[in-house]
Amino acid sequence: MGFQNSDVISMLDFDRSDLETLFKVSDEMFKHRKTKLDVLKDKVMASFFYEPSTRTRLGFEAAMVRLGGSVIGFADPGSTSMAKGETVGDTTKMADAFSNIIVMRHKCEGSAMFAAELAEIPVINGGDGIQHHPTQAMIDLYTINRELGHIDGLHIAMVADLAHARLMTSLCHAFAYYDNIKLSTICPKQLRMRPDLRDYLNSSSVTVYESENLDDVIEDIDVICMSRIMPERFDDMSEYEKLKGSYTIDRKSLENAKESMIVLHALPRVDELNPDVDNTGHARYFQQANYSLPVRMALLSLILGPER
Amino acid sequence: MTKQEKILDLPDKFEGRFRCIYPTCITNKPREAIVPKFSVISRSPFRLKCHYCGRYIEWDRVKEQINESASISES
Repeated sequence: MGFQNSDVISMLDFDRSDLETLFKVSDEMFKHRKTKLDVLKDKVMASFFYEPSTRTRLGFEAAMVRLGGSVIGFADPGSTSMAKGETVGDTTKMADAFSNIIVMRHKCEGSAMFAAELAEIPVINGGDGIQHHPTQAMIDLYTINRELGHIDGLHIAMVADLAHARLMTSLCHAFAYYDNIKLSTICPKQLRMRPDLRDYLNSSSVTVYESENLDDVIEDIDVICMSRIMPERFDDMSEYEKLKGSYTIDRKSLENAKESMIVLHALPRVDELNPDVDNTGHARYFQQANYSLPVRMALLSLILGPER
Repeated sequence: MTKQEKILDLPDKFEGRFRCIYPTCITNKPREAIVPKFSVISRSPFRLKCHYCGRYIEWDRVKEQINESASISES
């Protein structure tokens, strides 16, 4: 499908060959992550974060600056006309006139798709509610590929709030592009994946196992993808109070893991990932954060830069 | 036409006919100029998928909306 002038709304917009291209360019960008290129010197990125973000927003803004472009936008919609009631639709049309690309995050599912329908310029989804977070999934896949050398044939455990974690949805979409993936989902029953995602995986070649206990599978796992339980996604906070802290990983829980097994977490973490894992050979979440800049540089340059 | 034939006769997509039941779907954000769209992903049991939020709407929730619009048109 390719990246040139494309929207990035979900991982379903791309295929394996696109991801391989992205990884290749990310390898090149990794060498330039502390320098400044001029690939996008005449381009402006609108950075519209209607919902809190640290890594995604700063990552995209840093990537755009490193590529020679510039950034306009907001991290607090309260400081804009949204506080006066301006809609996502109108704000998108305004950005369409002022910039060359929009990166946005919004609490409503479908917001990025809606913006992409309105804008003539490309829209990158930096997270829409509980639905998609494609660029974080690209970073996670790049980290796995870079750290383990391949993605095919891996046994991946998602220790996560699968009902609400948009990253896990995007990762599941992408795992279907690889061969012989085994996926173990580890979480309380109330946080299991939504029916639409389950149906998607059932129609793919991914083999899915469900468990509430990581110990059941830890010896066979190659990658653990973690996320926090997200209070902001619960309608009923008493339900969140019951479930918070219901899964945690610490050094002891990884005692039976393969030596080569790696742990990913997009951060921020709360109590689900004990800092005592940081100094084990399994922790890769800081490398994962380190790879986020070259992957975002690669993505922006593939969309807006000269055709490769 | 039997009930089963009526279900099979339905289109594959609906635009503007139903609303998404999930409050955080962009189609439920006030004043956004957006038309809800759904695809039929199963006819038995009848199930729709929201084009924007990707989630399923089961027959009982669709039926509620049909009954609501029928009662409005009667009144």
